[in-house]
Amino acid sequence: MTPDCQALLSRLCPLHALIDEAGNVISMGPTLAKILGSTEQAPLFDLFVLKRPAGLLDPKALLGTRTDRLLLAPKAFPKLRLKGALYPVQSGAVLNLSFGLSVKDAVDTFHLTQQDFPAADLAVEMLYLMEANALAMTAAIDVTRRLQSARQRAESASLTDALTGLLNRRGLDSALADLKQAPRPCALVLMDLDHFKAVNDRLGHGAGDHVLKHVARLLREHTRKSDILARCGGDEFTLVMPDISATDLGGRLDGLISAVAAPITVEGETCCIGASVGWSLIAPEQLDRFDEILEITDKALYQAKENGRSCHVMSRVA
Amino acid sequence: MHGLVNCAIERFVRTTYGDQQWRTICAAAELSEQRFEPLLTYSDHITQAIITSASQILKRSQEEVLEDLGSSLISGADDAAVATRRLLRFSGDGFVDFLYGLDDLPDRIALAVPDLRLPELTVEESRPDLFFVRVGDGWPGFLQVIRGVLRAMADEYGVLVLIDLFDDGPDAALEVQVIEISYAAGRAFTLRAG
Repeated sequence: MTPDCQALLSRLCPLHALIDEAGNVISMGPTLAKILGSTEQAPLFDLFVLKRPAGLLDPKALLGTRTDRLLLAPKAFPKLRLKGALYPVQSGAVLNLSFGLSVKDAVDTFHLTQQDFPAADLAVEMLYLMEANALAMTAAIDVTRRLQSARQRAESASLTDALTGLLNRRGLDSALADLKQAPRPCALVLMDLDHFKAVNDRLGHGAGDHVLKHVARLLREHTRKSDILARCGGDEFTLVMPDISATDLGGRLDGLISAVAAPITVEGETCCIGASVGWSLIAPEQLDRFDEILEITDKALYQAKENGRSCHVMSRVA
Repeated sequence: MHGLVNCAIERFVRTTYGDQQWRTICAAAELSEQRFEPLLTYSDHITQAIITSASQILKRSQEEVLEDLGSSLISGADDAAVATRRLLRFSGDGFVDFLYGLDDLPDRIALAVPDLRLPELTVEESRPDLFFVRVGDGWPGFLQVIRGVLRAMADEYGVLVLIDLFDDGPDAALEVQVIEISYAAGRAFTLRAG
């Protein structure tokens, strides 16, 4: 190769090595020299580990195979993976290398500048893009985090159960606080679903959610607009119904329990659940003892389950 | 207008004039919110209202406010300015190189933020040391912002330049005259992120 030719090669491909027939690197481009830290002539495989094609130990065999899908790592920097292509020339070959995706690592490690890349090379554009992309990503992650935390704040401040649209425990507490401000006689109704766990286990949580929504709909149908309906976790429902007689409530509960017991079809499968209910009537002056009454009513609910489920039991509040 | 533009104006006012001035400007512009999401798009009226009220409150012409905004994008000490000037330095090895690269700037920015489309920028070289920079339609006042950017970038590269408004009409352009190419040391730049 003439000196002119070699100078041109160094400018166009600063990351090249010129190899003789015996497999020795006899000259190299300026960027490769910067990476290897020396321009001394040396056998190719003293300078590089050949990762692809693997198992080739004789440089002369490599020169014979003429491949443009080489993968090499400098022995001094084994982590740097260089893509390579080999072009046979008179009395040897030119090995042209590229940083590929490790360009950023290479720039960091060897303090490369714009001059280390050919003028028409896209490496600098790629570095720009990587840096810009990292910044844009940071902004996007920042937005997502803020949205997430806003959502969490909104959820924890919410009074309704997202699944059924009934009140959640916070909503129930807040409705009870209102009731205590203007006390009225009311009924407390605790309802548990029977065989609900079996639906979840057999058909999955999606089906379970479907059943809960269905039950919430039935609850609305069998109560009045002014009643307080809440789901306080799992399949437990709490109702507070102001100004209602035992007879009216008994009739509504009978209707509700038989409606819940009717088979439901979820995703082509039939589910049979039931509802057990414990309830009590609370006088206005008893509202202050709500937690105590809740415990007594819970015992009535337990009694309803003992009685064979799908029924309601009234508890007497002393 | 892209949220990033509003965010840039907000950062410029807060760092240069303080939080209180920003609140006053927002109140004068009758904005419902005083902060913007960088990745959302807002009505152009909002941006125009901020600039108008900033000019009134700060008692400076809109042109001056916009030029300072442009220069603050580059020359501040905050992380955001460091990031922008690094990104802009990728477009050229020297100031003249950077001027040549201005044609590509809108595309270069869209590569990073695809929905942020800057008006077209064209650079005409009339002598090796005299350039005319023009901007396309879309963002009123954009030429002033670019004027500030060029002033700050010249500092970055350590180049002494004179930037004048050439013709105020529809063919408005910035006349950039390079007086001395290596006037000061300029700020060091490496491809390597800091």
